[in-house]
Amino acid sequence: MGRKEQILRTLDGEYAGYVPVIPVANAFAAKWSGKPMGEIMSNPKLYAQTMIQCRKAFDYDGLWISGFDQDSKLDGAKETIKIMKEEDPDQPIFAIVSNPASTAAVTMDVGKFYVSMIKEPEVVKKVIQQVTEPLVESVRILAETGVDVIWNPMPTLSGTCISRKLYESICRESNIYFNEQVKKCGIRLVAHACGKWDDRFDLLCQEGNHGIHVSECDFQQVCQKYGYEVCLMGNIPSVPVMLLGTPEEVYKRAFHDCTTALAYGTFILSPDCGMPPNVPYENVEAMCRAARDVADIQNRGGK
Amino acid sequence: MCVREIARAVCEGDDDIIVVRCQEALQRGVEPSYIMKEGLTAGMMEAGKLFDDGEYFLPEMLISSMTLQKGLDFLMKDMQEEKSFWKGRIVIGTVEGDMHDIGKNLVVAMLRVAGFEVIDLGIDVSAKKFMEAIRTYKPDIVALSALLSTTMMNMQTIIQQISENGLRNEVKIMIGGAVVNQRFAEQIGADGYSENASQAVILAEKLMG
Repeated sequence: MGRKEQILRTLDGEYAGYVPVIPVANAFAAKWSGKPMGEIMSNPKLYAQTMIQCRKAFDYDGLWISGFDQDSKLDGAKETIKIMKEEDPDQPIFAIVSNPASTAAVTMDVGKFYVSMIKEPEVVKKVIQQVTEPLVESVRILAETGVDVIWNPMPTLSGTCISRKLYESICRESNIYFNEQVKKCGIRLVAHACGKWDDRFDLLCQEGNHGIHVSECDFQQVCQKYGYEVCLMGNIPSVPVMLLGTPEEVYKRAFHDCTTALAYGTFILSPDCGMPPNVPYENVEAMCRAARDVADIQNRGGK
Repeated sequence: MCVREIARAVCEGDDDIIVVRCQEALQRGVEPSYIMKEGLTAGMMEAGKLFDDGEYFLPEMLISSMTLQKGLDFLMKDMQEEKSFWKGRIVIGTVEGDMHDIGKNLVVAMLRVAGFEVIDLGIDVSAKKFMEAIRTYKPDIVALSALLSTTMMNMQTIIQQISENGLRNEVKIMIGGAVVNQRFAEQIGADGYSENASQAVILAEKLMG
């Protein structure tokens, strides 16, 4: 079974003898390459090769594309995906695509979105409705081109920002619809629960996500309650541990998160958010080493 | 009693009546500074407590903040000449490459009602712009905000450039934002870190000595 197959099975809830390590590493890879981010982002070939070379150098998993949920950038995305599939075919390609409610927030200006959620909720729902189909169409194009997973960041909708009540009344319906359309394209869906989501993980599970990339949460409790329903991803603190910690601290935290999560279901190891570009290389190596060690133990245990 | 009504209006985000309530208070002879402290500030602090308790979230805080700002703008017409009113001057901005400003805007509102003069440089603010602001406004404090792990390192760049240009001893520097913490503040040479808007006020007062 190839690496890509192992990772997709992990997302489908089946332990495939391997603990994937998938940092959101586009900014890190750009810094590692030594080239300016602007230059890399504007050159699809350079972007693809940077992501591939960095991934291979550290032997983590996953190739990332982003900023391609707008028509004008889809041509660049298609070229990037084509190169990734040719030069690193046994890795899944993750596309960062915001869902309709998150997109509406950016479209309206997040402050106005928040105020309108209370003062003019019908206006917000209308904006969400208007952005939905173009987003779905973008996802269809990405799927046809070869993206394997949509990673959907939702910091704007977290418990750090809005109440569960507002999330349910304004965002939920469009989340469910969008997720259904994504899955109809045959690709997997990971919700990035950035911020506090402890009071609404149940909703994310009900919305049909294959995986949930967690951050600030009671990790043990999340694993216990939801580990059987979805593949969890995370949970190394990006700044205090990945960026500022020692390799030993990273290893210890990574090992702990893997063993905790695998007791309940499948797991993808990752920092809890985007990997900061200045993360020490030894820390990335420690993260990968921990996942391999845990997989060795799991496999010897016959799981 | 009328000042209590002002606090209630701010806490509940009743921006339609805030100016009327402030007007009524002034007409009754209440000092603007008292209205600001016991009305606007008190109301925002109550909202802040509800936020800390998990009852209010960003939408509610923004509406309270808008209400507060409306009242403040009305009162400031009379007060802006009173230099002695200000506790200190703060220049604040979200660092270069970062477009997030909601948290920063809440901090601005809280600092203003706490009696600080705040110059808000906005978002995506370069080190050069921060230095220009230090030379122009001669603030007591520079406040940096970042929400992304990819932009937080610009805080270090800004502090370094402030030092290299001989301005470091002229200002105190505080940082905030979801990705940063006290350890990071110490690492980059900032004078303090605050976890939220209420804490930012406490820190600013502490830094003023």
